[in-house]
Amino acid sequence: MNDPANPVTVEACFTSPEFFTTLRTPLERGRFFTTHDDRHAPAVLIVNQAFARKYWPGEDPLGKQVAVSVLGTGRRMLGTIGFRNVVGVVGNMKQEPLDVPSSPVVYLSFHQDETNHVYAGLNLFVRTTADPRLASGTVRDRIHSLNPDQPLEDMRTMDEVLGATLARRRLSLVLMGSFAGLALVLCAIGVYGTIAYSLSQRTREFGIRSAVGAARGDLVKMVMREGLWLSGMGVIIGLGFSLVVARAMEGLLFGIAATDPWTFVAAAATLMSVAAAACFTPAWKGSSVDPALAMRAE
Amino acid sequence: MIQLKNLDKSISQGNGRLFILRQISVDIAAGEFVSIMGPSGAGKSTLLAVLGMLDGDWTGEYRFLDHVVHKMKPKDRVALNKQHIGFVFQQYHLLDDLTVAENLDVPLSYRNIKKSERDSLVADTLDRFGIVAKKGLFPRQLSGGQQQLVAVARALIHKPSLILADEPTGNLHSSQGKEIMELFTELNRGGTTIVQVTHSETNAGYGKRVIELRDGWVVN
Repeated sequence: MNDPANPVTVEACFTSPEFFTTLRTPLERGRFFTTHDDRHAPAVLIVNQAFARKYWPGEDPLGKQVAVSVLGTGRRMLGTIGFRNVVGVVGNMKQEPLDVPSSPVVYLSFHQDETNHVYAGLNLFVRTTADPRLASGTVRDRIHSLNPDQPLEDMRTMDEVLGATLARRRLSLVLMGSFAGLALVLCAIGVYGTIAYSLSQRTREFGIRSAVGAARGDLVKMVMREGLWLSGMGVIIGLGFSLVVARAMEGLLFGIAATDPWTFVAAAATLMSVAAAACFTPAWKGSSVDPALAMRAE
Repeated sequence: MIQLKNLDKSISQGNGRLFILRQISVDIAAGEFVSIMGPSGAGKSTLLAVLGMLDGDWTGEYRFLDHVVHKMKPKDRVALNKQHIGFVFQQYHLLDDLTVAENLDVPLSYRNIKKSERDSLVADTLDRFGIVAKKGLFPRQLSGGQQQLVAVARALIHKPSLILADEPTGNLHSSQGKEIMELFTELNRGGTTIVQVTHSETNAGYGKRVIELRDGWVVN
């Protein structure tokens, strides 16, 4: 890692001591930065779990020394290369899209910044106890009381930040969910219609079965059995197709495999429940046939 | 076995009610062979449906063996029907998609009988009625007489004490009709009570008593 011939480039953030506590980032090992981690103290570094796992698998990152050079726009080196001691390991924070695994990140103390803060921008995170939207004016006033010329832009709550990040994915999900719901309703209507039509053709049969001893429950059970057998066949065929088509959805999924077995079980169970409900109503109606009338209707 | 007292059956028609059966009071003893006769629309088939508990929408009193039918719930009536009654219809009413053997099995399948026992009963009945060779055939592959024979076999397979037959020879040639009536006579001699609806004086002659209906009333 410290070989100048093969430098490693990772994401880096200069952070204040309160950064991790404000964002409630879990501390896995060591410590967070403190106000004492300034230019007079030994240079320190915090890495995330992804970094520790990638570069020091099975090793204790604490106390490791890393030669760090900070690159700016166009990979321009900002400041000089200096060794920093790893003093902490924090949990991974999502800085990429949800479906992209967390990449290695190093965190540097804001007070040990030899680049003299040559940044494209600075993010200020504020945690409030009340509604954060009401706190924006207070934050703005506080900043301008320190530096009236400080430009401020893009003040957003974290929920808004997350919402914007997930908006496209959420739209896809809502659209797909709506289509899936519509398909489920059509499926229920289809099963209901098919069973109801089939039963309307079997009035005489029901009359005969009643006359030779079938109770209403027997007829309902028979129709349900037939309906669920057909639906079961449909679900099995559908699951086969789904296994193939699900691959196309992989890009829309996060934290779950396209072939997750429990999802398939839940989908099959939902479909069978809908089919059972769709079968029951016509089965119950059909079984109420008056046997004497049904047989005379021939 | 059967006691009907002041039994009325009516259906709503316009603002009023149309009576199909009026004040029917009839006693039928166990082991009797009774024929119900009368012109079309007299209520014969309706009376048979009431006796067989296929029709529960009537008023009056009906006692069957030790059971007070007019006070029973529909579910209990079905159970009573299952236990004691077999039906034979003019139009046979076999299930078209089932073979002869499967048709015979239908009543048994609703009577909590093990499959092996059911198979044995079906085999015995096929043998008794001489239709073993037909067991794999569908109703459409049989003549009318053969279909009615299967229908009678189906009515008897669970050994009912009462057979209700609605014009059982109505669709048969006279020779086939005679065979069915002789079969009924033989069953009656064996102790089975038979109530048949018929237009035929000849068929009524096989019975011991005639109940005549006219416009819903018992006239004889």
